[in-house]
Amino acid sequence: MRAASDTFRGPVRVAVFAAMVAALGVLPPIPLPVIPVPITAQTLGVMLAGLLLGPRRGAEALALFLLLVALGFPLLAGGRGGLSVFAGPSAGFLIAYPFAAAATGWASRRVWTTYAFWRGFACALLGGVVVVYAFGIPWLATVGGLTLAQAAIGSAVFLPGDLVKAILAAVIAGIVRRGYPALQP
Amino acid sequence: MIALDNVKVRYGVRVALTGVSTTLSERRIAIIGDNGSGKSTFARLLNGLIIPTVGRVSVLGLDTARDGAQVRRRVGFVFQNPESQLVMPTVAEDLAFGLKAHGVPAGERAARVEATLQQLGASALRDRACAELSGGEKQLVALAGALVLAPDILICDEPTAMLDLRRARTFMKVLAGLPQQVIVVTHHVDLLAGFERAILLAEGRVVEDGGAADVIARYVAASA
Amino acid sequence: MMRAVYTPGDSSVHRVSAAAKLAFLAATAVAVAAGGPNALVVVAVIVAAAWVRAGIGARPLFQSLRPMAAILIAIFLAQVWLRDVPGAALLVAKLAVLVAVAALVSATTKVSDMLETLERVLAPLRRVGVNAEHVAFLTVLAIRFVPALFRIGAEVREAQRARGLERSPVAAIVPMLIRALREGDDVAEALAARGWAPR
Repeated sequence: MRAASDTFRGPVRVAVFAAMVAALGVLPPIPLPVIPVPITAQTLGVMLAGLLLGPRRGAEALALFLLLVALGFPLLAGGRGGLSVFAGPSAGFLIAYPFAAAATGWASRRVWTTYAFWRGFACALLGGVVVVYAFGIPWLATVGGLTLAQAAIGSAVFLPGDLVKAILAAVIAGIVRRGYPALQP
Repeated sequence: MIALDNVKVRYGVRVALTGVSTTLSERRIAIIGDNGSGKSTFARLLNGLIIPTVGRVSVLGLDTARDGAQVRRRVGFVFQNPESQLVMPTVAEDLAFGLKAHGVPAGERAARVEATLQQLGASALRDRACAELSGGEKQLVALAGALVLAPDILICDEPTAMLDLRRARTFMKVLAGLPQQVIVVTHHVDLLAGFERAILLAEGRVVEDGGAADVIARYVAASA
Repeated sequence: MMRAVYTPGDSSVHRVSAAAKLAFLAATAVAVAAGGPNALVVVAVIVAAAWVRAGIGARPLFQSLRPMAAILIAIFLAQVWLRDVPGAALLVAKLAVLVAVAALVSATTKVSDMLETLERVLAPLRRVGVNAEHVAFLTVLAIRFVPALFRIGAEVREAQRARGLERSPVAAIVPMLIRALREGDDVAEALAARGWAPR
């Protein structure tokens, strides 16, 4: 069976996921003991977009999300929005989103038919941690006049939270994969 | 005029519809049956949203498998969920959206939007935000979105399932007044006054086909 | 429509075109980043004057800077340790002024004007495969989905609370995702029925 609407699903899912990342920003922060920074679910959305939509649609979804923020909608966690978020020293962590989703999606496509928790976790780490930090840390170092090592140490407080999110993303993607078989990254 | 020739639809291993051969030419046709009987698949076959696995569906002489896009230009479709059908911020913009997709020049769009809203008695909704409409109003706008494209045939898949009884009745009255051929999939069998023909589906097959009053009466009796 | 950071008003700053304001933002970013204290003072004075002129109050500035306060303080302390107090103050002041310019542009420009400018900027990129109209349509579609997803999220959380699962992020996000995907696929089908052709 071929349904004429199949070709329409991809572009609409891009819009759905852009909105999904926004909606994840208002989820109550995940409580983690010991860690001083609040953990929001927004980068979880980056990992999920890659895992579930694949590289191209995932990247488009996050680019669209950033566009909504830039246009002036306060959709970042904590109700931040507008162009000013791209002027701050941590903007690199935001700019990374589409690239992170693309990396996670690129890896996800390779493991989808043989999906297992550890594979999903590795995909999520690649985009949601490696790529995000690869943009965020040099950006912070440049804008803040720091060395890479200093910027990296300062960013490390987010690492435990990001690992938790990668675990959640891998679990969630595994369930959605079985619960919504129409999805193909 | 729609003709189905030995149509079978399979989703993976599940057979949704099989052995359907019929011609749909009456002005008002109802498709009825239990959940999962194949009604929604039947409706989607009629505008090429679904293409048969086996067999052929021809609409106004066009094969839906080959000329899907052209078929959809001639056949309007109203879905069950009013939420999913409106995409643009305001009613007028939403109606104009379909016209734009069909390549209607910008200068003509406003007049056609206005005429369609007037035909449905919904001119007051023109500048309202879609998100703020009630369920019944949304479904009326979804209908307007289909009609503004001037289709020859209108298919409705359970258009009243999410409306309260009063809104459902109003909606069916609006349908009754349309000049087009109308084919409605519905559970609201008590709202089918004026329908000429009804087709009863069960487990993917046509089990009854005939005058609307007779088929509905037998379906209601069998469900009791 | 969602509320944006735009603060309604009829000042001369509001009336300047979105394109001009975005160009101003780009120019100040270069001036502040590449220039010394003098350039920073000039930009700061212009922005302060424009801000007063716009009559939007201090709220948008406060809302933009507050979430960055911790990181700006950290940068200040690191710079004091690495260099000296004047150098640290200059760097943090540069960042704060840049944020203020961007906040001013967003607070005085309607989303629809921003979107229109974007469409115009993207139009010449058609040759490299960027379809401005498609981008604008997806933007409108995403704006439409945001309130729907907030609503779905709230409904799912309510249902999970009723089952005692409110502390499980998986129980909150999985049903939200599946419902959102289903609603998206329904919209895709409705778009197909109305003759929309994706690119």
